[in-house]
Amino acid sequence: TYAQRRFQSSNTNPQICIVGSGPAGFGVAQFILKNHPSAQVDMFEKLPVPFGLIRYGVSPDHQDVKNCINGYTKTASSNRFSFHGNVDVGKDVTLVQLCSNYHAVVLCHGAQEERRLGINGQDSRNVFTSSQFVGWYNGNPSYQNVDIDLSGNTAVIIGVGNVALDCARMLLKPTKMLEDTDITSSACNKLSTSNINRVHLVGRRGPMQMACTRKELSEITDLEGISKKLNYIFICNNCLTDLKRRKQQRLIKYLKKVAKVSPLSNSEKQLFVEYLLTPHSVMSDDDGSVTGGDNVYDPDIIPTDETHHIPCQLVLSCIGNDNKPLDSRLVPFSSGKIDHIGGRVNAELGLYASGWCRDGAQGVLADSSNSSMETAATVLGDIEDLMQRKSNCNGHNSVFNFLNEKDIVSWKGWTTIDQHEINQGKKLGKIREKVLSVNELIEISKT
Amino acid sequence: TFHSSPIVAQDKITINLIDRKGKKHTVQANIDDTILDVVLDKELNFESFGVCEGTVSCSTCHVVFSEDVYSKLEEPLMDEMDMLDLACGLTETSRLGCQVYLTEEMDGMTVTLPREITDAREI
Ligand SMILES: Cc1cc2nc3c(=O)[nH]c(=O)nc-3n(C[C@H](O)[C@H](O)[C@H](O)COP(=O)(O)OP(=O)(O)OC[C@H]3O[C@@H](n4cnc5c(N)ncnc54)[C@H](O)[C@@H]3O)c2cc1C
Ligand code: FES
Repeated sequence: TYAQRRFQSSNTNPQICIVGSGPAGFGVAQFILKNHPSAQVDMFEKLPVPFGLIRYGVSPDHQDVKNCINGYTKTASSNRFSFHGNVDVGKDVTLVQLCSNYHAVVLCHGAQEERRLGINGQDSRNVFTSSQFVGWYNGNPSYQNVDIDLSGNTAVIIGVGNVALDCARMLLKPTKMLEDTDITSSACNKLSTSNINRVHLVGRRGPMQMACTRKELSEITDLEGISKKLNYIFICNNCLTDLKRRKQQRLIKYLKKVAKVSPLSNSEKQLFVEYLLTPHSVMSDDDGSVTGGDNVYDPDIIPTDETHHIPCQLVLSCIGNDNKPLDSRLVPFSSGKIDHIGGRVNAELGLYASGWCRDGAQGVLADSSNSSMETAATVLGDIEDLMQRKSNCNGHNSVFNFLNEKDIVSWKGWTTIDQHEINQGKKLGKIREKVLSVNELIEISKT
Repeated sequence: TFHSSPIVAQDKITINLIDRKGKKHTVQANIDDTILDVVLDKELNFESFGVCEGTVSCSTCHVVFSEDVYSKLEEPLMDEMDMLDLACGLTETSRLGCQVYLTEEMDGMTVTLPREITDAREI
């Protein structure tokens, strides 16, 4: 009978479940499918659509980074892979349920918690987190109600990492250079009417601790018609020899160069990069206010009493994301990271983790890929043992019983959405026009 | 009558690629192809290699050369230097595989994919 066959096949083939469809999840899927002849990989994704921050984080003007989607799509074409979108693990199905139906469960759900400034006035009007701003222009359904006021002329961005630079660039870049990308038309239209022409990037520490790359900085400073004031006096030259600090070395060299050639002029747009300022409070008349620090290289910051006031009409905090364990009873967690050995989180349950949920919200695509190779190798090393111990795993055949009432988006459903978005984009002369609501995404996936 | 003369110029060379598990792949490669081209052409299927498809925006095609070959390579352009900033396990002789073009002098050379990442667990 069918039931018997199903039971048999699930006994001989490893059933592996991946939670989350960003680079970490696809990295794990790719490695497992390639290195195991019969493993079945099921991927569950909270949103109706795949790719995590590649779709909803990476800037519209960084299309090349998104090429990785081609590789992920190839992985997804395997007949041993299946995608189940619109399934929120922890809500629609619990981790315990997954662990008892799969030989191995790999958490790849990223770092979803927005870090807040934790200062007075953080809830003032026109103060947003990077997740809100980035999610808004990238069409993430959760952030489409973000109502950002761009009528003022000055923005303060707190943080000097890659995400902060993305935000600064999106505020300063002429929308002409964005309109054919996959930015949402509504965001592009709004940005095109923006009055913001001064952006202050404010770092808590010095240039040596800037978490951005030379390239990211140059993508703004090289824009035409932008003058900039970059402070580089806090540089400690003897820290610049080690290969591990290559990124800093090149950044600092570039800072010095740019700072020299571009004294602030009265050009239309201005970028200020400021250091050793810790956010103190946002004042109720919507002005940002920050305190001064006093430190050259040592990453510990010694506060001073001095405060420094930056008048502005928009504040974006780009200070990173935090991690929250999906189920704190099952997932050991300390200082923002999941405890693991080579990606193994809980040997008893067959629970693993990779990417930003495992290592914290830092690093680029390549780091997530590396994390995934390590984790996937660990899973495959354990799999024989797991299959012996957990002999009753039926994979999604059983899990679907819990998901009775849910609209689940399959990979085929996603390709329908994908095609729809590309077609809509074509009409507007863009790479793609994203669908902005969960309901609409689900409806389109059914057509 | 004419004798067809043999083609003298060699347009193929032999190179060795050491994958992330330490396994050696010896392949015939076209001169003027990049190392990424070779990996794709020969379907070497290295894990997480070349995910941005050679557009210099991912650094996953990071490879390590021997000192003598490295010193003969043309200087990397700014784009490549920028992506190398983000490469994992950078060495003094690291380059991006999608930016290095094969030349005749590279015949017989060996390039290595950084492997520290999978050392944690061999499969
Ligand atoms: C603004 C921004 C710009 C960036 N730009 C670049 C860049 O230019 N180049 C670069 O290399 N890197 C860039 N990065 C970094 C890159 O996006 C990350 O390294 C990478 O996406 C992390 O992968 P991940 O799979 O761990 O997490 P994510 O990409 O966050 O994927 C996690 C997935 O899990 C899903 N999920 C969450 N909770 C659940 C749940 N309970 N159940 C089911 N699914 C769930 C999420 O919806 C998401 O799809 C950027 C990051 C940000 C924030
Ligand atoms: S393939 Fe991405 S940088 Fe070379």
